[in-house]
Amino acid sequence: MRLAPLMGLPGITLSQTTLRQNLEDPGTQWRSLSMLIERLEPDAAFPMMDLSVEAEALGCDLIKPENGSFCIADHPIGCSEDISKLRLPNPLRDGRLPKKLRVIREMSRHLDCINVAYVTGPFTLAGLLAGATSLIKSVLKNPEFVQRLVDFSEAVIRIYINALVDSGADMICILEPTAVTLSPHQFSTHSARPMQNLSESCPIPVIIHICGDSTALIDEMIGVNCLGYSLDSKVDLPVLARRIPRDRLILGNLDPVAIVAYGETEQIRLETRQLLHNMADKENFVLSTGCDLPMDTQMGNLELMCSLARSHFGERMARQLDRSV
Amino acid sequence: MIIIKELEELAILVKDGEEEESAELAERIIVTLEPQKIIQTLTATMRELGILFEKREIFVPELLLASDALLAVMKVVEPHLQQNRDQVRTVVLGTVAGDLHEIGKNIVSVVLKAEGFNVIDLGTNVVAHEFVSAAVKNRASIVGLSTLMTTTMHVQREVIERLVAEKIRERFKVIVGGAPVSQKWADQIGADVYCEDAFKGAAYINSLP
Repeated sequence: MRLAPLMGLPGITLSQTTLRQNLEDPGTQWRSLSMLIERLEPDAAFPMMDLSVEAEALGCDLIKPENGSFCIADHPIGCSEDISKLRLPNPLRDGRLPKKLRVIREMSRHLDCINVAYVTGPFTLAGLLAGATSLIKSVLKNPEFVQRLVDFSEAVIRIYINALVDSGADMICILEPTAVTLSPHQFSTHSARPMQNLSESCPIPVIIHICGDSTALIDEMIGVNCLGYSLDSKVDLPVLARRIPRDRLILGNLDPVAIVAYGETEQIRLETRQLLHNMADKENFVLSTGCDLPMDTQMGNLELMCSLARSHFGERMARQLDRSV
Repeated sequence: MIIIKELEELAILVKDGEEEESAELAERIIVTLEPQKIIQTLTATMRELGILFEKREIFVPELLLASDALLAVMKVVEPHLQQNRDQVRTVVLGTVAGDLHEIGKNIVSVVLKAEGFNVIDLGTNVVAHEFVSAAVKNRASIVGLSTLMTTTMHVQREVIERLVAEKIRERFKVIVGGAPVSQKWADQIGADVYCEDAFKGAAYINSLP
């Protein structure tokens, strides 16, 4: 795997549909994704990022704009007693989980590349259930409550992961954006620990993605024994890469918005080449975007980024072959 | 000496995020102390927290609790302030439409209040025209636009386009912030500056003539 941009949403422009149509109808999402993947030929394909799906299956109400990400409208968990009222979801029945599984089935059936499925991370899901502000304060004021809710979230995610595996996913990407707010110690307790449990019990490889500047957390992230780490454009990737073991993948980290989505051609060329050059000695490097690409990403920009990556890795492979001959 | 000791105690309580105790102490000392002294203590405390945050000695959970404590003290102090609010810089602040994230925006709001600015917090999910009309109505000089999602960043651009269309862009400094935002993005959409956290935002506003 050499090229794996976190893309899904730009497919909406190609299929001329709305985000809501894609998030609610698996057929529409698959059509958008297939047009995008056919055009860009990445080594790994991701569905459309949607952090609301597990919380919705647990009964949270959503706000569903026509062309914006779905958001949680209410946070039903205010105390430990509320957690007891929650029931583990059935991925074949609850909310839009069955629709997400269908997208993964279509990807698995039709794509030659690695088929990655997203799940919401345990601390992030707990934040959706309790409200992120409230949960983050509880890390200091009521850590037992946080631990209980995170443990429940871990159980929910494990059930969903198993269903995604059954639907044909090749790899799981755990999205844990809310955990970037934590100290290394807090992260270790409330995010790395459950992610390690999920990675251990998962029959397919797992990568973890944390948005924002996760520099302070990198040692704890590495403590999660998984296939790799997807890092945002806010981190200095070549510097952090020195701390990541060679047997783990490093995915990253072009700026998805200012560079890939809306940057000038020369900017894309410069930044992509620079990153490829700076990471040239890392066999475990996978060129990706720091986070999800916006819907209206300039398609020409994405194509340029992908073609630069392909020619870079192609030339490198040719040089390695020459040396071995 | 007793006054200094109490202000030091207040600073420690706020730093420790002790909301109720901070408010109780503020209630006690406001009787004998100029409210400005308390505000100065809060400003110094938040600046100290900003340094600790930048050095990664404290993190968002500690900041949120300290913010609650600071707001509780402000609630006690504000009725005693005689300051003419017209002379204070006004900041209109919010998370853009389609985005309900509030943590970063709330910390910015508290830090700016601690710096003595008049903060009009519009909340989350705020559409472009609401930013513009609130900025005009409140005679603001700063507009702060927060977003945490790549799908809603375009609203930051919409606000600036609206200010331009209404021919009032030069009246405001526009600050953008949020996890996916960068200075490159700020330059692309014509914002004045990207600030990566609340403390840098406060420093930027303080640096303005």
